[in-house]
Amino acid sequence: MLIRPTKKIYWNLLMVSLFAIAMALFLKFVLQIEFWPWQWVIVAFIGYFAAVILIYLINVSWPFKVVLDQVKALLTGRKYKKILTKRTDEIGIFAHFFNEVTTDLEKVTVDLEESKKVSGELKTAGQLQKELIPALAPTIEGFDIAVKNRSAEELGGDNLDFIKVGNSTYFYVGDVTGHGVPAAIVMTMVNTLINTFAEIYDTAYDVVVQTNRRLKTRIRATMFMSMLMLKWNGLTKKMTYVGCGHEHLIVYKARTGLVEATVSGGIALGMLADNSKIVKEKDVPLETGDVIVLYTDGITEARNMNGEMFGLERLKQVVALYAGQGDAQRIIQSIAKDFSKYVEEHVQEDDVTLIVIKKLSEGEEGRSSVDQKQARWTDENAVDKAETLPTEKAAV
Amino acid sequence: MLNSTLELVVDKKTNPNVWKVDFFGNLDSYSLQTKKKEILDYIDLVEPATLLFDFTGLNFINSESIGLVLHISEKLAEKNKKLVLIGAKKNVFQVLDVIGAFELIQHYKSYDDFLRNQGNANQAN
Repeated sequence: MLIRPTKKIYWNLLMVSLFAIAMALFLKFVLQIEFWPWQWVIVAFIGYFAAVILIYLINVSWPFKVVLDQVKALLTGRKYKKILTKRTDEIGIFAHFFNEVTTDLEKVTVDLEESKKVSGELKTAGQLQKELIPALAPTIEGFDIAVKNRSAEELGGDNLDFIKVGNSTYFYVGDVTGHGVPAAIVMTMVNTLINTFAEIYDTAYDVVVQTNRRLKTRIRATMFMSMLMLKWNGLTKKMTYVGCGHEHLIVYKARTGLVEATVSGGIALGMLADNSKIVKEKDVPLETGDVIVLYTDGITEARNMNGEMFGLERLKQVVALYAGQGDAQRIIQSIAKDFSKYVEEHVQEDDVTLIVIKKLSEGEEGRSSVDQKQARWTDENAVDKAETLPTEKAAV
Repeated sequence: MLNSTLELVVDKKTNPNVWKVDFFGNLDSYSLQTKKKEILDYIDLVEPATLLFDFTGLNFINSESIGLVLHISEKLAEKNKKLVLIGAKKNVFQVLDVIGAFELIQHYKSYDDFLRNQGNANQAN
């Protein structure tokens, strides 16, 4: 540790030197003590060096130790004190620097604690929101159902539910503008409204129109929610759907092996006060082995490491490849595996939701599964032999 | 990776009945942070009856930005003014179409199409 002496120290040394000379003169002429000249020199040198050492201890070593002790206390997690000094030399600068660092550190610590608190609350809110998404899809006679959902943040904007009312079952998937807290609140409102109106009205059309009417008055003007709702009537054995500005309805036809992607139509919830003239309820003709795939744009707009989107065309190809292989759970795992392989380590920018509904034969017992826990959309039990599509530019 | 910048170029002089705002780049969460206020200000600033957003140079639009555009359309309608979109690229057009935005906002393939339509409307009147 080298500390360049300041001007003050030089002045001190000069004073000491003069003092030593004065002492020698006093001893010789006042006290009449005889010294040989060379003894005077030795005394002067000894006095001089003693003074240097004393000044060094008082001006440099001791103050530096004070600063160093507080730095050690900070680094070892012990209590430390601010260093009060008016010095502007090297030690003063060091002391002021220490004070600045500890002040900033205290501010950061307070911010971190606040951030931890907020993070904890978000985690709790996220958990509550996850509990809104059904842990189990309902078991419906004649249908296999599998769901995969993963939020981009603690709180997601993707919305889905299955509501059994008497002999009917409503399935819906939705996507709120953005994600995070505002989207989660809208999602919760929509979920509540749909669950309520499903008990009151008989058609998916009425449920959607009423939900929209109530939602529009309660959300920000810049927010809306796209949605695709299906309704299965267990008595008439008919499936219908209502589109609200959502992604395509994908249907795999087992008889031909072809995949149809139908524009779901309508207008997103919350965009118009009255959407009754724009949304329509339409039939979805289904035969045994047919597969319906519902999804959110987090799937089709996901990018790979080259920035290329997964896209609707690729999704259709993947569905065509796997929809004829096994139950809904197996199909969804295969699609998810292909998706994961495509996006690799690209950051997930949006919530992703996939619902696969397979039509079984009449009277066959249905199965259902919901997965929203896995960090990655691959599963050890996924089909290894399934062919994976080569990476190619998706049509945009 | 997408270039997350957005440039706006305003033309108030070429057509006295229209303020035309050209969008270049991407309307996403990054560009919205810096440009949102400027875009919203057009609600109050626009003098003619028509505000035209030219999306010919727009490469990407996210759902939040769509919400913003719809909000502007709604607010202008309250003042008896209107928002018109032109030249949206295929991917932007598809996203707006799927959402149902064109139920609320008119879209033209080009500025010439818009002018032709305006001309026809004036003749009809």
